[in-house]
Amino acid sequence: MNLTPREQNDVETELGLAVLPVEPSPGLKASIMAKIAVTPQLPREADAVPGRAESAAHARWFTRPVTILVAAAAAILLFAGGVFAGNAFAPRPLDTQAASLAELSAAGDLQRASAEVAGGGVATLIWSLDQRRSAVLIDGLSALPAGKTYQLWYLDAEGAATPAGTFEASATGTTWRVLDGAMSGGDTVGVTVEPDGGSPAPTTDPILAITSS
Amino acid sequence: MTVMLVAAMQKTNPRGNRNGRIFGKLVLVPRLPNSDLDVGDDMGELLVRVASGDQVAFGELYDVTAPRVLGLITRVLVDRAQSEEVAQEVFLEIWQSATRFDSSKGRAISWMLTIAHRRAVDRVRAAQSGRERDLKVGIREFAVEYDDVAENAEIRIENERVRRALEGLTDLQRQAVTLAYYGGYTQSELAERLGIPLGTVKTRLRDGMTRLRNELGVAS
Repeated sequence: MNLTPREQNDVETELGLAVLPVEPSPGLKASIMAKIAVTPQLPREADAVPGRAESAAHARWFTRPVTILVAAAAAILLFAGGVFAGNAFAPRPLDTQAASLAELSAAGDLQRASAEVAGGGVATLIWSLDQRRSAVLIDGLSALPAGKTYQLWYLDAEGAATPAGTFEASATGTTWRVLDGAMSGGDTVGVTVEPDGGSPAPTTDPILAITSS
Repeated sequence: MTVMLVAAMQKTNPRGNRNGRIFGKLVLVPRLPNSDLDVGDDMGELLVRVASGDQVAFGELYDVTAPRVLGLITRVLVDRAQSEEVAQEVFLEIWQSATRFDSSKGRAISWMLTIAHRRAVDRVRAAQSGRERDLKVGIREFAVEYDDVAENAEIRIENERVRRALEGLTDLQRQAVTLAYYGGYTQSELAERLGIPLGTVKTRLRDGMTRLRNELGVAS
């Protein structure tokens, strides 16, 4: 007797949920949130054929064609009980930034602009004037020597610089930071290299400047 | 060629089989009783919100599911750093293709774990094929040693209900199912690896999965 693809998938889900949960490192969520903020979703398809993912996975060890999964089934999500549930909902250090980035990228009036970083890397500024908020995402940003930090600035039309937070280059993947403070239309966002802790006003030439207009 | 692949798996397996953890005999680890909690429906709703571009919902979905997704990937890959890389790919794919998820066809967690399993297995296989050619010498010796490893293997099954269900299988069924699912081996590779006809592999997998379905009561 053969299982239906649906039953097959139910059993696989049980096997998949039966192993020990592994708590992700704190940076993983921030990294993923940064990526999805700049990644478009696939267009909807009226008739979702069995997903490529499902088919490929099943073809590997069960040669039957497989349609997508199954509702029903009493699977267990939190079988490890309090330990897992506690971990899953504990706040993580980067959660506030990640949540801000998520809210920002969901803005209806989201805009974006890109520029190269002096010294290497490509930066994207995303902003929402509804939310008066912006974030910078940089691929390929170099790490700084000890004692130095990257600092963000809002520069208004007159060139007055307001500090908007400091950040370090991400060791893996995209560096990103939601700016502190409120953005105004036409502001330029700049990045300079400053001593640890940041400066009240820029002390070096900017390595990046993107105008939001 | 296939023998060579077996040797490659043994010697360079990124899952680190020093303790033979992915092969053969199961060591069934007792654990606390389940506190079964099915949040499948909630996650289905979350996934629908994600499909509409809701990144806050995506963050919530991540919080609820990441330890399970990473747990499965780590079971297949073992290597922690690689597993996090793969988890990142998995969640990016979940974000991109949430628009294609159809809740009438299945549960959100099943859909997500299927993606996680496929990508973890892809990563294992990519690592293996890249090193295959380095192992043209000493194949027979490797193959013999490989069999020894298989007898001392272990997979930790943390879930009481699934553990009992697996105990209900014959040793051969259990071996086939766990090597196929947690090990990511194809049926042909299993036949080669176990030295049995392909048809026998298929029978063991089919019977094993059917028995698990019955034991777990997941009949739809």
